[in-house]
Amino acid sequence: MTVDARIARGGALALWAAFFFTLWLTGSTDRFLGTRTAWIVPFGAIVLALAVLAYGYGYLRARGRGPRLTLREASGLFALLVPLAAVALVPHAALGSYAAARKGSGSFFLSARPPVPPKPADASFLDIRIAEGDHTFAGNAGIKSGLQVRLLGFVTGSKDVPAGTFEIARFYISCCIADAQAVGVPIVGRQPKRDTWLVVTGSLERRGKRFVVRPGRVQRVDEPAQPYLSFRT
Amino acid sequence: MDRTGLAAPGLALAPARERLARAWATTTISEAAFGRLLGLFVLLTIVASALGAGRGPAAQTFLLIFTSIVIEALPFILVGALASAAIAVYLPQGSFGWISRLPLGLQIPGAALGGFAFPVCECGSVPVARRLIARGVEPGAGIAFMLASPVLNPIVLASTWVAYGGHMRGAEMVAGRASLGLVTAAAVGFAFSRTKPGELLRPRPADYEHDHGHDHDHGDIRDSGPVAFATHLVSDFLFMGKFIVLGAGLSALVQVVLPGSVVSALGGAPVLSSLALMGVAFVLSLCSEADAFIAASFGSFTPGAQLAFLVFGPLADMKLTVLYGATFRRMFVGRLLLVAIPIILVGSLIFEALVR
Repeated sequence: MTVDARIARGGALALWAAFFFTLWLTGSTDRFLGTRTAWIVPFGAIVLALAVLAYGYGYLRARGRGPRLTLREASGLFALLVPLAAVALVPHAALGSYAAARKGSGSFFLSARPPVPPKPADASFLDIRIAEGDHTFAGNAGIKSGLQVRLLGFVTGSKDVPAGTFEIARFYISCCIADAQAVGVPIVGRQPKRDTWLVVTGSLERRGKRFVVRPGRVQRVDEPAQPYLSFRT
Repeated sequence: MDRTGLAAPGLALAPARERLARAWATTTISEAAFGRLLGLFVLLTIVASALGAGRGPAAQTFLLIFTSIVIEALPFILVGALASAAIAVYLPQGSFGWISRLPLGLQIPGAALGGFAFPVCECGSVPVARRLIARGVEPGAGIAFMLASPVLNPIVLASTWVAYGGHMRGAEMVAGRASLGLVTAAAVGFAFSRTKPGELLRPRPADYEHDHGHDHDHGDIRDSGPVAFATHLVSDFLFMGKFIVLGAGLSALVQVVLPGSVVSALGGAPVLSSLALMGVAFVLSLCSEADAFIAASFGSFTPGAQLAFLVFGPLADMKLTVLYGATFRRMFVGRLLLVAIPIILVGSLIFEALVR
């Protein structure tokens, strides 16, 4: 007996609806999307669920026998399920030093001007990097040598840092991980293992064009629940 | 079979490839076979997960970028499918006939300007354009609308303004993006103005047209608006969705394989830098509502090159190209690139000269 294609189609849709609901309800959207596009997850969940219901209603109401599932259509439906399988392979993963090296040194986003942090001590990776080249922003944000900062980031292993320092960074995303860029700040000291997450507390000092952090305290931590920061204006 | 016992000559002479294609399209699957395939799919996923297939840095990066592009793109396909289904079910057959009676010189730019009213990224505009063309809109006008809407919509222009820091610089980029986007979309539209819908649109596989049971009864579908709407929606979504998956996979693969420094080296040269950023836009497959922040960050590239990135990306990127291949006939992508690339290149150089 052959498969009714409508059941297979409805099943594929239902799986995607369930996946979007899971992302939404577990708060895992930010593992894939920035805050700018996070709305599409609940939207997708609700619309797909409604579509499944309407499609299912139509199936139950239909008097005729439905189309049979062909090899071609089945392969298309399985292809649509591949991303769901891919998510299962990287359930709690996040971009790390390898991606930071492939995607470049984090020049994305540095041209735009976010609002200044509420307090200078709240300066983020992005604020510090922008302040390196924009004296007006640095003045408004209060970012200068001697400022005490606290940064949470992963070790990138980047060689593009002043001598005697290593870089920690966070990925900033606008739309989704495809546009993610690592924005890093050098830390004075010996480099730990790549992809180690650290909380570094210390004071900013100038080394040429760069701000570096002279750490007072370096603490290894687990990867945060939200590994990416969203760029917003 | 004739008296000699040989099979009908036509069938015997059909190329093997055609026979395979026909078999692929028409062979049905039994419930048992489908169940086994599904079980195998799940088993492979579990085994791959247990073996840590996604743990290597390259594999992990690929999988994360791949899944995020799909997750980001599919809801926009859904938006487009919603609009397409609404047109199919709720608009009478000849609704767009009056547009076709306008002179081409008005139709195509007018359709391009209509992009202001459709604030979705490029994935959503493809199914809508297809439906419009199938419903009687001049193909060139449909194409112009499809290419213009991801660039001209208010959300994209607003995010472009913000990404470039507002003020004069932001206004320049917005004006540049809107005008070059409009000109390019209209030009590509004119390039297809003599094309008939049947020559442009690839026929959809019977699998994905609305259900035709053996005891087919149009009355069932026509009487129930929401049911027919859902059927069209599902049909468009599933058809487009698998090509998004393919395009996202290609984009993620290139992003992992190609280091960013390869492109950075081309920042200085005027023409090469525009072409390089157009290549980057093609690979990254970003949504047009957020790509301005990426463009703005290419500090070592000229404003003209950044503009080329902003205009080319929503017209043609890796995932879009796969989608185009599924929606339009083979000549579409080639003609699109042949017309769009020189216009964007020249436009970016003119923009560069104006803003300096």
